[in-house]
Amino acid sequence: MSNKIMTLDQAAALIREGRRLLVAADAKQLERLPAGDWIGGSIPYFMGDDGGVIDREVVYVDELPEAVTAVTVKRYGADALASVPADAYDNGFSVIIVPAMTDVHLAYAQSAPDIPGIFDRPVVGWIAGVHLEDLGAEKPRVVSGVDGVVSTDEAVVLHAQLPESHAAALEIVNLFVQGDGDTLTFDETGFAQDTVRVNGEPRAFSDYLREVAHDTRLPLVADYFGAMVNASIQDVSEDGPGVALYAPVFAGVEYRLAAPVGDYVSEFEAQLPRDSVAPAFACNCILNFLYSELEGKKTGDIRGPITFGEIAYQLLNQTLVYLQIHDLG
Amino acid sequence: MLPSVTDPRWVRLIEHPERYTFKMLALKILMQRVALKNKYGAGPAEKRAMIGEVRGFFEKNARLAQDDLRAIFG
Repeated sequence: MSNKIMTLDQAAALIREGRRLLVAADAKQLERLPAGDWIGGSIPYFMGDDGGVIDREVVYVDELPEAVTAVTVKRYGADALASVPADAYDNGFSVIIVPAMTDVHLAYAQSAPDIPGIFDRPVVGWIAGVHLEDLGAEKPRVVSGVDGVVSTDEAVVLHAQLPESHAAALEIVNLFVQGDGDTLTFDETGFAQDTVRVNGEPRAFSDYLREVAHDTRLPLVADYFGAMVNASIQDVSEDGPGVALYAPVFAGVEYRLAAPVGDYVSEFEAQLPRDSVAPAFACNCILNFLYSELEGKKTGDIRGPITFGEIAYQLLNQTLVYLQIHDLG
Repeated sequence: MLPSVTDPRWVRLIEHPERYTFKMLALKILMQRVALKNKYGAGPAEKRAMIGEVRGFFEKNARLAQDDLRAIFG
């Protein structure tokens, strides 16, 4: 099984051999790969054998486990996302790649937890992006390898089937926990918020963050019965109430500002899974990469794309997501 | 064998998820949605739908959800 950074030619050779792949690379490389059983998304940031890497020329490849018995690939517009679970195999998992800053990104982020059947089997994936130097100039892309279609406005999903002897499980590693500050809630679900309720009292969100001198590298964190779910802060208006987020906050959910993290690498390694099942797929967040200066640093043996958002059923921020395939005999 | 949808333990789970500790990530997120619906005053029909959704989750994930099933049903 290949879970590594390689050259374009090496990735093309695997596709021609009939391997079933999940691919991450700069868009120009993705578009040069041959047709085959693969899906891909644009991003030039990776965690490789030697740690964090920024490279527009190489290709990051996850080969699907041999246990996978069948795959189907489909593209979904914003109005078709509700059919993702219904299209999945009874036993298996789905990998979704969504182009950032699009209607389908917005729709998935806000609606995924309410899609009927979304929790019935693992839905893992990531938000495709661009080199940060190209923000605003280039559009994130996803590719359906089976037909060679490149899309800037649809999600691409690979549904994988497993035999009854195997089962897929999805987990996360999130270093952030709720701090001991105020309880923050929002009246509306969304990526942009003018008003936050601080212990129930409405306040201008930007004013509140300035008042508490919040380090905006630290996300808002909700406690989902022990699973910490982040919404990262993108921008705090200097002259208005608004705060832009990289993931939506949900109306009624209680958030707190995250407690500071010490050394990211050592704390991350302490939280990595200790079981013997190596991840079949993993991805981590570009904000962790940037804020923790992960270029050239290893985070355990985890490899994968560094993304504009991670998906474990729903959109997450500043979180490592990984998929394991268990042989249940 | 999963308890039927009429088993009162489903109602207890749906109405008071905070009394349980969940292991599977999917279940934690699903139960968060359940808790949110309760917060806004879910009616009988909505509660029946939630029981159906949670039971359906366990039907499809029974092999990996044994710890959670034991925690809920003993």
